[in-house]
Amino acid sequence: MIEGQTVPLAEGPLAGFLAALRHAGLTISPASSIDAYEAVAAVGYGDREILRDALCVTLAKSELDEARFEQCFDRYFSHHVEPDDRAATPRESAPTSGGGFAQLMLTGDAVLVDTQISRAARSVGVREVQYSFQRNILVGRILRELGMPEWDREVAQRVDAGTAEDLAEWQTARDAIVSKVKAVVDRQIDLYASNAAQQIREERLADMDIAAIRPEDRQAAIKLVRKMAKALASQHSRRRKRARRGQLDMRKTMRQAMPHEGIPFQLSWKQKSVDRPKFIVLCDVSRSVVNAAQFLLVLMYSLNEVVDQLHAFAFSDRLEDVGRLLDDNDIDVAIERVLREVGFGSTSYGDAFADFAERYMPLVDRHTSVIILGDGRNNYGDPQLDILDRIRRQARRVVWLNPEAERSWGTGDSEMPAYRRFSSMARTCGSLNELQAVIGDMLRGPR
Amino acid sequence: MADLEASDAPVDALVSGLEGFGYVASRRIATALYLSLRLKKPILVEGAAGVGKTELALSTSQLLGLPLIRMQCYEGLDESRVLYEWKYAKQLLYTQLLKERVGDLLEDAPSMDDAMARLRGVGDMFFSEDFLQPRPLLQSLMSEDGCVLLIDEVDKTDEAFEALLLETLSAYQVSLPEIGVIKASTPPIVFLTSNNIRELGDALKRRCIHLSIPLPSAELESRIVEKRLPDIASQLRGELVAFVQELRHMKLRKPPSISETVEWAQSLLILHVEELGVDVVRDTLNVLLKFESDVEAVEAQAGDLVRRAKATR
Repeated sequence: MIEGQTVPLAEGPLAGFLAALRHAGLTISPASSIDAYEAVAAVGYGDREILRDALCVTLAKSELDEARFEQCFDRYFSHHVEPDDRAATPRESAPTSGGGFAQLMLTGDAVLVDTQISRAARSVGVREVQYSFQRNILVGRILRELGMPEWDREVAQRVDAGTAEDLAEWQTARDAIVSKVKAVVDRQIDLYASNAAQQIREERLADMDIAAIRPEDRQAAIKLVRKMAKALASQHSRRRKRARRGQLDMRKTMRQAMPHEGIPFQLSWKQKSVDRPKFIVLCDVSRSVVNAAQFLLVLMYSLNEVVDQLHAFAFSDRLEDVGRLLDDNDIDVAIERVLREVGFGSTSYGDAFADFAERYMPLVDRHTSVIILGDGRNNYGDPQLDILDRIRRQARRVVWLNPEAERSWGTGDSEMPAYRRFSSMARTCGSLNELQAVIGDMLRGPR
Repeated sequence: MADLEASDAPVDALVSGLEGFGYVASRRIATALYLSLRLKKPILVEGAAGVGKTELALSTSQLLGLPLIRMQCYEGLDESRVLYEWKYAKQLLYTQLLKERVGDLLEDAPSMDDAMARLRGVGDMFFSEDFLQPRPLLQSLMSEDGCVLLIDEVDKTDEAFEALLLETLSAYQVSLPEIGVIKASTPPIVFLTSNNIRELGDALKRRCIHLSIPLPSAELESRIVEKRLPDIASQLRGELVAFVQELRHMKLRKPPSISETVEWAQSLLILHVEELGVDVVRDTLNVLLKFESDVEAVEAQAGDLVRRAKATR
């Protein structure tokens, strides 16, 4: 690999440290990095305590950040032998090839050895490491860069020639190099890789077909859904605050102006009435859609704080109010209980609608969004379209979320085309991202 | 400021400088302060109540010999309270005056247009600096020789207010629609404090040096008490600091912070206490703890805690 090819734009120890902080999960904005550079310019690298404090106050923006910062700082600056290119050992005198480096190792100038290793590490692009499985590849590359193969060949020749009297010593030196290089790579992985891998995993999960999320990823997916819910919640509450100030209240303004001869010094504003959405969720938990249903339940469970009223129902053929289960229990327990009590049956939308109409119709008013999650496969029974129609007319809207792709709507026992006609909106929600988008749209208020 | 720049160890200079005004600062606090002065950036100070956030601003203003403008935040705080208002009463008075004079003023106006133009000239006067009532934020920008601006408990305001601060704190200027842009000739040194009631926006944090002041170590706390109450016997000081440090390990609703320690030390001094005893502790716990449930919890273990405090010393 050519020198300079993988070297990041900004050089020097600080650039590497900023990258390490980012990988540790800190958000480092360009503004803060400029601050950091200026801070270092002001205090210098001389006093380590001051350096640490100065970087900490410019880069860490919360207590959590601070804890991560401290860890990162210790790991980075205590182990990181990264000589400044311009100042440290001149390149041409550095014996990087074969026996030269081996000789160096044997005679042992520890600082020079470390310098050589970290230079080799940098030139093979160790900073771009993303996954821990790249470890062995990187170790191999660095060893090659250090001239290990040539050294091995040389030793082998000497063994063949019977002149390898100091074989044990060679072996010890070799082991020492290998373990040093491994340590360097591990540290890099520690610094740079763990967080990137996590992010990639989350992105993949969010875009994945919900049905294809494997059981071992389920916990991670649930965590992700909760994160999404939190984001939605904060977006929505911000929107609500912004909506608070309304139009000019002419009447009140005039009245207040009376003592000042009609000069309106004090303006009054009408409070805008803030829409507080109510949700009713009907969730099909029959075998075919159980996977998607789980995630909708998690999302609803976590959205409790922005939504004033949430009624959750689950059904296969019979419909049950599961709101209490969601309220009282830990999310995992709740979902497990919902599934145990009503799940895995064969679906009858018609029966479920009839149940709902009979028992819960009064819950529906013009502020209510009714969300139905299911594939609309009614086992060839009566679809009870008139009930759905009644619900729609009484509610603000009925949104149908179908985990199936749109092209299979209407095939086999799917009543989806008919149900779609009687819903305000029908959408595919195959992935968590789509699910989040739909709920976000609904929270955004009147359509 | 000038001698700070000249100093070889500006951080240490700040530490001793602040100490001269009774504020015992850790190196991190001093470093943050130094950078905030150097980079001309506001400093956001976070930490539990009573760890000395506000004190830091007060001592800094004394150290730099600059006036302090304090702005206490609360929910619902809005532009008119922090930036400016018009002096309504004065405007009203002038309106009356104008009314009486309007005849004279327009007497020799040749045409209607001319009369209108004259009135417009008078109208503009109402929204000039003469009728402007500056509030803390604007005051701090208008102070000629600079000042220390303390925006206390900024987390109590709502997000809209933060946005207002962003504009003001990044350019040290503010635009008033009627008058134009007012820019600080000497930017104020700004402290924002927060008790973490609400998570502040990223945009605000990004513009600030971020300092969080933790509860102090025993050594630092002991120095602070000594600084504040030089008369206190060193034995008592050590014991009471050790005791407070112990309390912070207990699960309390409101663990005592520095201000409570100092207050307690003061009470003990007034009571002529020379060393910590179970009875004295029981009698004075309410100075240290702010919740009845905390007092009860500590009272139950008072003997044990006092013994341990004496041992660790």
